[in-house]
Parts: sequence; C-alpha cells; structure tokens
Amino acid sequence: MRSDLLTADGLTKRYGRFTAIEDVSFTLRAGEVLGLVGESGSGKSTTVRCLVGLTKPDAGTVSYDGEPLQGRAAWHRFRREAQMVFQDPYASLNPRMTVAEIVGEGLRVHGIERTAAGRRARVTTLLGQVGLDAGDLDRYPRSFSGGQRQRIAIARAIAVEPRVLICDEPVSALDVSVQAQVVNVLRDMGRELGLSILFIAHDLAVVRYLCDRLVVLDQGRIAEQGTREQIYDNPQAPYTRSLLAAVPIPDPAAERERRHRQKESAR
Amino acid sequence: MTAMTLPRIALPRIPLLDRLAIPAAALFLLIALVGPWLAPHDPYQVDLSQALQAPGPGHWLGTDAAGRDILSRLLAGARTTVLSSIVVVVFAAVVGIVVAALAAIGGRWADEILMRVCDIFLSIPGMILALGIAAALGPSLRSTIIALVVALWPPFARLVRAVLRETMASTYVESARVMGVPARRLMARHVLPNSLDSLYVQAALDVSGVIVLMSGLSFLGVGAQPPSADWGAMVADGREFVTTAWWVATVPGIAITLTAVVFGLFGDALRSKLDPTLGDA
Repeated sequence: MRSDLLTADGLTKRYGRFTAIEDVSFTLRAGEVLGLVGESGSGKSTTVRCLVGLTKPDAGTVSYDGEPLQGRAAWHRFRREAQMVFQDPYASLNPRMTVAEIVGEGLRVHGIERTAAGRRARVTTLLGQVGLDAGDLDRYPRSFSGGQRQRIAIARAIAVEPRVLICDEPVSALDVSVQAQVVNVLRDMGRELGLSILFIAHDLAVVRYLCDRLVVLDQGRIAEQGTREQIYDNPQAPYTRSLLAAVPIPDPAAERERRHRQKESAR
Repeated sequence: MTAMTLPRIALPRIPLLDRLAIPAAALFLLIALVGPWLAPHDPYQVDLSQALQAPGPGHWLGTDAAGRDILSRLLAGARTTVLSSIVVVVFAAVVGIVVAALAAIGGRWADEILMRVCDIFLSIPGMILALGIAAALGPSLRSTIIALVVALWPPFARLVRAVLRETMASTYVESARVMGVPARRLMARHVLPNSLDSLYVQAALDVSGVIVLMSGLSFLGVGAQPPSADWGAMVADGREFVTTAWWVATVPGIAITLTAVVFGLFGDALRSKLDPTLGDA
C-alpha cells in the first residue's frame, strides 16, 4: 500500500452565496498520478488553489506527508517539495526574467545552488531534460511558443527536486499538436524523478493515458473516485457517464455507432 | 480610484503631438540644465535706466521694473522651476512606492492603516495643504519642495497600490508564491518591475502639474525668494504693470504654460508607447 502524501479533507469554499466546492476530500498517494476531472465550473481550480494556499478554504484542511499544513515550517517544506505547473504558459512566466532566472529561481530561494555558475549549469541540464537547449538560457519568455513555455514551466517546477507536482490543466491552453509532446514530457519526468502527480484536466483522453486513479468533480462536490479501470470501464455516477460519453472516439464509424446508440437510449 | 489633485491639461490625441512631445520635453530639460549659461545678460544685474523696456533688440523679451533682462531671468529660472518639479515628483514617487509596497506585502492591517493615512492627506486639497506646509516651514524653495512632496505622495501611493495589486494577482506572481519566493524578493523581482510602466507615465504627467503648482506657490510668495529668478515670482512681480508693461508678467506666464503642456504631452506620449491596452490609436 502506497503511503498518503497530500490529503485534502473536507475542503469547502464559498463566494457569497455561491458554493465553489463543498466537502472535497481525496488523497494523492506517493508515486501515483491522480487525475482530478470535471467540466469548467466544477471546482477544479478552487480545489487546487486551496490545496496550494493561494486561496483560504472556509472549511477543511490540507495535510502533507501526514502533517497538517499549518505554521511556517510546514509551509516552508511544502513550498519546496510541492511544485506546480499552471494552465496558461503565456501568463505563468514573468515576462521580465530570462529563462535562466525563471528556472533557477527555485534553486536560489531554497538555497540549493548558491552560486550563479552552479545555477546556470543546473538550469542547462534541466532545459535538456525538457527538450530545450542551452542557447535558450538568456532569452525571455516572449520569444517562445506555448509548448516551449510550458516546457520552461515544467523545468522550473522540477528544478527543486519536488516530491509532488500539481499540474493545473497544463495542456488545455496549448495547440492540439503540441499537447501530446508536453504530456509525454510530464509523464517521462514523473517516472524518472519518482514524482507523485496531481493532474487536473477536463480532457478525459489525456487523463486516461496518464492517471492511475481519478477523482471526478461535479458542481463543487466529488461525484466519484476510483482507479482508472473502475472509472472508465464501469462508471457509477451518472455525471461520470455523461462525461465519458462526451469523449470523441477517434474512429468515425465507432463514433457514429455510439451516437446512434445514445439517441436510441434517450428515446 | 485615483484621486487626481493635479491640474491636467487635456488635449486631443494627435500622433504628431506624441512624436514631437519627447524631443520637446528633452529640449526643455536641456534648457533647464544649461539655461543660466545661455543667458545673454546677467539675470540679477539691476539697471534702473533700462527699467520696463519693451521686447526688442538688446532685450528680446524686454526688461522688468528693476531693468533686469527677462529672457536671462527666464533661462536662469528654468532650473529652479523645471528641476525642482522633477525633484518633487521623484521624491513623491519614491515615498508613494514604498508606502504602496508596504501596504501590498504587509497584509490587511498594514494596508488599512496606510491607506487611511493616505485618505487623510487626500481629504485636504493639494494646493492648500502645500501652501500651509510651505508657509509653516518658512518661505523658501526648499520648503516648497518639501510641501509639494507631502501633498503629492498620497495620490501616488494610491495609484501604485492599485497597480501593485493588479500585478500581484497575475499568474506569474502566484507561481512565484507557490514556489516559496519570499515577500521581499517577490516585490523586488516580480511585482515592481512589472508595475513600473504605469508609474513612469504617472510621474511624467505629474511633472506637468507640479510645475503649475510650484509656480503658483512662488506667485503667492511662499516659494523661492527674491532676488532669485523664479517663474512664479516673476509673474507676481509683473502683476502691477500688466496694463503698462504686459511682457513682465505675460512672458514667464507663457513659459509656465508651455512647459506644463510639453511635459503633459510627454506623459501622454509615454503612455501611448507603454500601455499596450491603448494600442496605436
């Protein structure tokens, strides 16, 4: 049995009379890839923001490695050991810092590489790992495409050798043609570094490819959670079924067949 | 959101004006720096036989009641007026940025207290506040500068706070926070560098307003003291001769207006260059 690494317990967040999430509880276990899925507005982003401390939940707690995230010491450790990749790579990189500064910042603030030369060498290696090259070190984010920027963001996240990687829809802002490349970089890095990954998405095809287990969110509540096989082969909640039904099948004949069946059963 | 206490000169947006504004502001700044050496006469030389000469050869812009050459006094006074206005804006901006940064990283209480202090200052009209402080400190150029800094930092702090809050909500600042970047570094490396563009614009626009305020204070007698050449004081000197020797008050008055307009246009030009949301229109 894998040990629990990051646990959300009863997270609730309201904005005025609107309840963004209510009683959301789940656990990311060491070494697994956990998918958090749901359509837009289902509370995925609020959950992540509460999880990493960007938003204060109205109720509920977050625990990391068995300890509740309270106090400076716990947060300090969490800030180093849990890293995040954001959805929009056009917004998540400081436009006035070079790639070397962006990727090296974690190494600097966490005292991992104290010399500029040491950081540069590390950043060069990291860029190589995500498929960029040393020539990109002194360029600014504006000279990169979306896919390249997301690779920079991944390099930044793995620079400090985290144990947990939280990916908030990391490919949904990218062109379909580069989505697969970035997903593969994430999967390879995860395996190579033994990361536990929380992968937030609304694209169920990507989730199926990457994730060991799934949590399905519907209107701020957990509709269902289970292993990939359980969810995909035998969805229990009606919401999960409708989500799965919305995934296109990449075979026109099979897709037509399925639509026909759905129409029949709706009658 | 921002309470503007400064007079603004609003002109229609013409691309040509934008293009002219930057070299024009540079020219005025140059005159302010080297003005005293360009003066054809000694600006302080009293010569009563030459009193109240109309503009013409010898004295291009005429002479005042003490027979001093107005062009020379104008050039000498450019330094006090323009450079002190820039000094005022720089100091007000620094105080405003520091207060706003403290409010932004200090949490809700620091923010509440600092902004309420701002509100107290803002509740008093800037000109009256500056006049009171300058008079209380004793009339001199230095007290005018201090008075204007005291009167001008609050609107600046308000503006900067709004800009900083906007930048702090951006994803790259959030991602730095999630990574554990400490508050001081977050401010210095992420928030401030990405907020400065709108501050430059505000500062440039403020220079224009401060020139007018500063001249106003001198005109009322709390600014630079005689015999030093100061545009506001020169207008005040010429008041009694307006009907008989119009140039004594009018020439420095035109200089004040022209300089304020040029720096105002410079601010607008800077804004259309730096603010991507305004586009090229």
